[in-house]
Amino acid sequence: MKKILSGLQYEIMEKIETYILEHDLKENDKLPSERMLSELFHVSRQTLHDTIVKLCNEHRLKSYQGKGTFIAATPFRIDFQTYSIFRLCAQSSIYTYERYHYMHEKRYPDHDVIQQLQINAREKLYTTINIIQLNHDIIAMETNYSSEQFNNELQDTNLIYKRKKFSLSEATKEEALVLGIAEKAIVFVEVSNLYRNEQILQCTKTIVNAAKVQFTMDDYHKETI
Amino acid sequence: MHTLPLYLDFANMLRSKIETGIYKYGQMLPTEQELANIYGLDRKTIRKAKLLLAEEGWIKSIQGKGTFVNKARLPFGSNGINGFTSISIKNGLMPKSQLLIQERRKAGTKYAKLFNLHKEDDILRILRIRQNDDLPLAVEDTYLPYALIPDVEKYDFTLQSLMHIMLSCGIILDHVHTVIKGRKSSNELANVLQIEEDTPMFEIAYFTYDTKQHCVEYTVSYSPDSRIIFEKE
Repeated sequence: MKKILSGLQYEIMEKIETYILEHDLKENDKLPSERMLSELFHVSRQTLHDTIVKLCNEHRLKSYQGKGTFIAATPFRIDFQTYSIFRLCAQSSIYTYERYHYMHEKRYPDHDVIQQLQINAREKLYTTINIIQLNHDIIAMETNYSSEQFNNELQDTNLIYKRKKFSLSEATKEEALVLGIAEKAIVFVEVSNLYRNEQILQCTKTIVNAAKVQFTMDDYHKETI
Repeated sequence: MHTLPLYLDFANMLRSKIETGIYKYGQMLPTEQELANIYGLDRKTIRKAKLLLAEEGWIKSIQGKGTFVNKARLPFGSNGINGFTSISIKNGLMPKSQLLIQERRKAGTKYAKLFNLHKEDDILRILRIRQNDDLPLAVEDTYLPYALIPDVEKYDFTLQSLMHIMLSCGIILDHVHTVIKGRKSSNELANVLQIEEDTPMFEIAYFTYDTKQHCVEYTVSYSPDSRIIFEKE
């Protein structure tokens, strides 16, 4: 069996991590050149380059052609369980939260939405797209679908949001454009519904840039094991 | 009113049975003939639905054995501390794992900082594939201070839950801090987990703390998006 999470490349990865820790490198700090690092770690340029590419894929480093390799931005950390939908989690975070309207139109829903609303796929729905920013950085795109025109800013104590699905996906062309990321970049997908008296009013699909956001939770130990 | 083709209707029904946990991870589905009898459909319809679900990653057929559910439910929320063992038990199965690496090594800067040790102190690393039969669910990379568990070498980590071993050694756990990341699967992990390279993969880090607020265990779990259903308890 091929080696996983071990072997030369893995060791180089640990060495780069240790280098970053020991030199106390922070966000946007520059890493020494690949040539220098390969000499420092006694490995080939190719092995070192491959390792850097890997760390870039994990969003820990970022490389710019002709400029070098830098420490990637510290991701936003959002509590996963405080509330049931992403918007509320982001709102209650320590970051500056902004949400603004992007567009409104009637469009055909996708598979997830059809499944939630249990509707005919050939029906166009009222669709509103909002953009969510944290610290003035675009991190998520929220699309609301409903069969009736509906004001989702409505204040109504009978309204309940529920998270129905949480998964990963590759960004579509539109999502990539809105979030300013590459097509097929990895995104979190959250599907949540808005209910009033157990009736679904709206289905919301939120696409979150996985390079910029991580979810956290704390589970406390229960006595009974 | 439009009606779905019969096989799609049947596929939706099977899919929701997996989604809601009626059919659990690793469980064998009834045979085509049995399903045909139960639902009064012909085998061609059943086969077409099964092909679709296999394509979507919900089920997997293993030559000579049968068709198995290939998605696990991962509960989140205030449900106490969850190791893979308890996740599997929730899914109705005994956990199995394949040990790839079990080694004693120096902590180094990173783990010395995490576990509050010296760089020269020893830590234990355990790398396991969590799977049931031919259904790999996750690769788990675990680190802990070597001195934490007396005679740590005597335990079989393919059988015993690390959490239970820690509890039996009198370590009182307080909480687990979890960080969920999304990334592309690397070539090596894709191979082991039997998925395409660069497809979406969860990287979930668990930091387990004891009541003195010392980190006693650190595990990174790599799991394909296609094998997990996140659900709120």
